[in-house]
Amino acid sequence: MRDLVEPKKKERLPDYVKALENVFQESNKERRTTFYRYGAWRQSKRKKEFYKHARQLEKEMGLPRYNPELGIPLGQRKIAPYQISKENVMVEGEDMHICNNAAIMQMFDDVARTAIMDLTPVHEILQKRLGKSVTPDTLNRVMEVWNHTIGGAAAVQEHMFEINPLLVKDGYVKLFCGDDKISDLLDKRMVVDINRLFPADKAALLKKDLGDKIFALARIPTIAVRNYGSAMTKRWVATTCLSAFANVYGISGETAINTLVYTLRHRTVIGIGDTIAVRYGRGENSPGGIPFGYICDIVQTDRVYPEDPVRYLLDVAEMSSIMLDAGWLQQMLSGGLGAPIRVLFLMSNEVFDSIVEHMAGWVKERYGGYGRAPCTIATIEDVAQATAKYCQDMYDSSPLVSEMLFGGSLRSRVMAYSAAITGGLASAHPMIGVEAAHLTQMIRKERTGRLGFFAQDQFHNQGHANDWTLLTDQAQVMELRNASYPDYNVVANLTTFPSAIAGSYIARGGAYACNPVIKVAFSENLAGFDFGNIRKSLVKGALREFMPEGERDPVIPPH
Amino acid sequence: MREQTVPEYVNLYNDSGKLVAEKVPVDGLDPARNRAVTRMLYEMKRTVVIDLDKVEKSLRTGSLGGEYCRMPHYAMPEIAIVENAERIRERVEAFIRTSKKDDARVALFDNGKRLLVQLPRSTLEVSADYTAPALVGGAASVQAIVDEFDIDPLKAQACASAVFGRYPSTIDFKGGAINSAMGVPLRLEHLGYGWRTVSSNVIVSIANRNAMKSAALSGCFEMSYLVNAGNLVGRYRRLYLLGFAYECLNAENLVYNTVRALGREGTTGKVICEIMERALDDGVIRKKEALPSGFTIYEPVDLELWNAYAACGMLAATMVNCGAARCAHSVSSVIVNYNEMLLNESGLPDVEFGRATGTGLLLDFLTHALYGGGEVGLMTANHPNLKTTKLFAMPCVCAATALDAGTLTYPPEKMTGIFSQIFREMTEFKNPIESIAEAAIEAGNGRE
Repeated sequence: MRDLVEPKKKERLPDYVKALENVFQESNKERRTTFYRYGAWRQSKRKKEFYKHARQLEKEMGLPRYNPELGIPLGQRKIAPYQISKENVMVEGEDMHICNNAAIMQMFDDVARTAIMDLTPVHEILQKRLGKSVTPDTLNRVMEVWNHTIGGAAAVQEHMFEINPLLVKDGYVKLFCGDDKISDLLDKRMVVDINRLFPADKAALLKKDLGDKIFALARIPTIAVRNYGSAMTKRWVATTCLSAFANVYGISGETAINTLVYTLRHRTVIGIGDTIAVRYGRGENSPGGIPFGYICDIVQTDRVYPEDPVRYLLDVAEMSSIMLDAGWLQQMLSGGLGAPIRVLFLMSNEVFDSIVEHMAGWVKERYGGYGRAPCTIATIEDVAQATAKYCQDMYDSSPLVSEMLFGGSLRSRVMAYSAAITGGLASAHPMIGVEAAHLTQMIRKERTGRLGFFAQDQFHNQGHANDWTLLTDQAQVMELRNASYPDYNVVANLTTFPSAIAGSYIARGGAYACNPVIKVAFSENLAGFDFGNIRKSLVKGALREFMPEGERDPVIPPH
Repeated sequence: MREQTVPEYVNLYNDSGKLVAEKVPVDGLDPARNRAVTRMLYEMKRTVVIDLDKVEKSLRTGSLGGEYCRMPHYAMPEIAIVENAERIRERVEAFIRTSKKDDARVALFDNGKRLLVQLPRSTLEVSADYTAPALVGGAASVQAIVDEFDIDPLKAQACASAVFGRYPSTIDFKGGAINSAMGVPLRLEHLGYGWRTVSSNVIVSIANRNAMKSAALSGCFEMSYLVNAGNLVGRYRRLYLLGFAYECLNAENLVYNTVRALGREGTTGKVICEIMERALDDGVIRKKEALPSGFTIYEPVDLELWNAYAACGMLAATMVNCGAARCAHSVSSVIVNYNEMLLNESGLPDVEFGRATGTGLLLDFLTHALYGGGEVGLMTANHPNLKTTKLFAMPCVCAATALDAGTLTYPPEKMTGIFSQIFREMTEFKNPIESIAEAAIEAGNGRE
């Protein structure tokens, strides 16, 4: 293990050192820190702002409000801002708390409000049971009406009270199809143009796998999921769709219409998150039910920046950490834990970027390219040792890195994410990445005695057995596992798994990691979060430049 | 404490109107006391079908978990599961047997495309719920495939995904290849609802589209739910036992005679008249009061027995109407109109004291409106609507499905046809009324 602790000599000052020296205002070479001389919470501009607001609220409400004096004595360490990697923007931690960042909230909402409908069975019922003629013209008309009803407007019944269109302006429906001849017959305003959105090679693959089925991409209004929860999305989509069909084809009150609804609701609608166990208290389309492979397909950086696969890998890691850790584990399961570090630690101060860039280069150098390593235990060991060594060297050589990745859990997790990506990239198989991630943790545990908190140790100690198993409550390909998977439900390190899938997808090539329908569905988002520019969107949220949807301004007093 | 009994006897007639047993003790119809019903439940509970053809197609392309997921790195284009189905079957059988003489059954159907797995009794006795067949049968199939084709560990879990679909990431086998007559416990509306998850299509498939047998089988599952849910005790016991005997098992030939008499020209109103006349003749109801207008109000002499008669009329009206149209969709309207007319024209309580009417109304809405629900054949009693009527509505839904001649988009043959093959030779399923009657007499004799 001696070579693990030897600092690696570098000729040039790495980007992460520059960034950290900037945020901590100290030299990386300094071995005596002045971290402990800061003025408690008053060193944070944002906390001071919150303090001032709270005093005003106390006067107005007559109740104790936010008061950092009551918390643990902050100021033992520097509350450093975070320099967002590659974006050269400095943000405060508070600005990446989910509730303080409108972009992150919109990210959650956009996933929760999305469903896709395969219209083929519906068209068959219309033609066979109702004798209706389905043509491009009628479908275009359906889409026009559906874009009316998706906002909660009426199409088949009178005296319905409708929603102010300004409240629901982000709800919309579009079509996509793998057959260009069919797409060409449809109203261009309401078609997701795969040829325009994707590079030619990816578009061709997607269209081949989608075939001639016609899919409808539906995003229900943000305000609807905020009011009624994500499990309602599929119902909203099915009911508003049916209204449009009923309107255009002149059908009502008969059994065929019910068969249509049943087909729409239960047989052809595709959600993003699966149903999960009752104890988690969440319905469909919640982060806890999203297959890991879907997260890789929701992220669109591979489409927007096909020449920069590392950027895609970083974004998958980032989104996993936000959706599954900061959101699902910290907020939805634990309830109210503020852990913006789970948003920040992978995209700040060039640390994680540097590691992933380095390890991606290592894969090329070691194996002659992505996806060329054999899928063997030897590769798992190779990847794990190389990643663990690189990360541990960095932690050991830079007190600033260790201070930024405070506590053992973040340092462990960065290592796990990096190994997951590296193993996937090397072998083109997610299992190699996941296994390498577990093994890095065992290496680190061997060195440090433990990882982070107990659940983290639990997760990785069980990891190898859980990965390879055929036991019925554990056996599943990595792409279809999710955050509610047995043994994954309590620990943030599960969020590393999508990275292994993303790495293997990049190594394999192709156009999607798991599901072509999901890939196309998130290639366009007319109003909301930009899944092709995740980091930029998050920064906009932190800088209060991101305009979210679903606000109630049109129906509340001016403010 | 007095033992809980219903000291009554009925004569049971089969679906041809022939007397099959006299003086059948009503108590013997309790599923907990009737070996014919328990045999049916046992066979259902231990049965699962693995769609080997679907597993093969999933693995050949890497299309796992349904909903257009496709992961070519798991694909095994050459895998020939159906071609080697017999070898898979042998391996699965070896996995699930607990002894050479146990009653496990593993068989192939549809030229090796489907694998029937029936667990041995000893395994069932260990199980805490009814998911063991799906899980044991599925696990055995996965391991048999992995072993038979010597599948790489990196692809072995794809076999699990091909068989189990999204499970355990979700709560059921979405996208998988497991067919069970029963729904998963995690989707139960309430505790004790396991037997209510059997769909109308499954029941009609087992009954080979015979309407009266469908009603009988449906009654068996509903009665078994009542046992599980604690609803067949005390003051409700006689109500449901008599209802089962009369509506589902054609006691006193009431259902058969009514349908026979009115099948050609009958209407729901005529069915009501027929049932009321019979009830008057039998002393089950009586005239309570004649109003000045001439309108006569009736009252039950025996409330539970009248309810059973009324339920017979509801099933008969369903068969007359849906049979005439050869269309299942009107069953909800029949339930509503039958009960409302009965109530308003006689003053007598309708079936299950308003529950059937309510169920009919909501069923009408849910099968005819844009708010969803599902087709008649897809209905189960584990549904927000049908669950509210205990026992009496599902037999009508099943009879209607059986009488449908092709108007359903999701008919039994398309959805659950395999179950007609599996249980084809089992006497209890072939002749439920005869079997249950015989077992009830046996149970009665045993008590004496």
